Amino acid sequence: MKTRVTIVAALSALFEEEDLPVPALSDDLVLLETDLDSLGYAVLVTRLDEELGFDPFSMMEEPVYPVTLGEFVAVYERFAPDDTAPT
Amino acid sequence: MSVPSGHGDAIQVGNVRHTYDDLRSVSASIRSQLSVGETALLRTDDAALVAAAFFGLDGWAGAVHLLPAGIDVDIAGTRITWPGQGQIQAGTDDGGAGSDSVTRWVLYTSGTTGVPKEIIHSFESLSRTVSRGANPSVWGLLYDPNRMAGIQVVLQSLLTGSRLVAPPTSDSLNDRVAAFVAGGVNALSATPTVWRRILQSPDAAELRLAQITLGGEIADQTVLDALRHRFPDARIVHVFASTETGAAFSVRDGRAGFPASYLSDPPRGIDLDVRDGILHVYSPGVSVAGADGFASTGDIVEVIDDRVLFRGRASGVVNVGGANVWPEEVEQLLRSHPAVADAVVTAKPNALVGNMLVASVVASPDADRSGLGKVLRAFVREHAPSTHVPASVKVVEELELSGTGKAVRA
Repeated sequence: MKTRVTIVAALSALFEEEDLPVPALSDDLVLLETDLDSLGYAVLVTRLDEELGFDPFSMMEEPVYPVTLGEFVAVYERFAPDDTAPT
Repeated sequence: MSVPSGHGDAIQVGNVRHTYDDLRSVSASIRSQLSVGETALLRTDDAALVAAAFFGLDGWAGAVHLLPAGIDVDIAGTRITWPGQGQIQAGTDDGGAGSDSVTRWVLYTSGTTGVPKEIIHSFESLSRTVSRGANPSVWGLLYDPNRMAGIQVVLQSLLTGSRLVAPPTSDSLNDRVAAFVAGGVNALSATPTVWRRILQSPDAAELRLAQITLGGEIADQTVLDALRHRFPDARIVHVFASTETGAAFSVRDGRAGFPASYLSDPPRGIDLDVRDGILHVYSPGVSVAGADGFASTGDIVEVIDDRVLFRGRASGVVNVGGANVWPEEVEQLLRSHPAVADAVVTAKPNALVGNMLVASVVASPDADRSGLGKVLRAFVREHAPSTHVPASVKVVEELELSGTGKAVRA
């Protein structure tokens, strides 16, 4: 739950910072349909690495490309190092 | 090589003052610690001991290894120490008569891999950049006296009969600046990163500098202008030195980079060329030189109008979403913002776009820190492609410095 809150907060902060309209950040939000480009998602992943202490996309053996926000969150939850994740 | 013929105070280390006569005695005593041709090890951060070793051992020892703190190498040799009271011989320096061997002075760099790399010099190559005609002044030492940049300052000071104020490198920068003020220092050499810190130091306003030297990193226009503003009467010189090729030249007009005319009219006889955007120097003796004698300095440059500007190290290039980005370029841009005193930009591997940049900045004293990251990202986006915009901008109290006074980019 905490991971989801962090991701949603980082994502909406990024939309605001880039002066982009903030979409409804629900699980079925299709990431490619937002105004954030691939560099924008790279920014998000870098910031989440700083906040959560891990970057799941650099940890996975087979690349996964989450389509929706729900899938994106699931990737983070899957790779979260249990309760030891720095906050 | 004997102690230069200076008089009066030579080096002040902390509260201890050594006169030129003291150095003459100590260098003779140090020489008596080993026989001709022997190898000496010098592990100290005491500038006076380094100076005495230079003048006592050059032309006497076979090799002298200068070992900065934290560098461990396994070499057999006599360890040189400051002679005890009873061992100091009164002022009888004969310059090591009887030996005319060339002493190898071995310096160490930490190297990018962390494995110490040795660099062999002669006294001649170490003192090549000393301007011997300069008037005596009062130099301050901010560098480790075991490393190239520190040795340059020690030799520049002693070979011109100047006085050197050398506070312990373990002292805080503020304390060292205070020691320079108290000691009447009027000539100072430091990296641009350390200069930016000096400009923030509360005592800096009390410094009466006539000579300012910048080296070791890219001197951008922002720091040159800030120094000119703070020290309007000082001569400001930025030095370009390439460890790969041994070439060095200086620029004195207070503008970043160097005049494009240097490419056709070589400074101090050093032939320069820009090939594939990388500065090359004519240096036929070095192992990295090509068939025509030109060797790469590894520095990316750009010629803009009448000026050659440094962009960064070729080895430091970062691929962001397919574009080549030099972190130094983004640092220079960040520093040009009034709210930024200094900045360091590093790369973080990223599965989506290869790498992303992240920045740490030191805020100017009167800057509004809230939302500064957002402001600075917008500032970079305004002046550079989106690949240059750091993913995050962290505001820190100060930047981490390496043993050579450069900002750590790790």
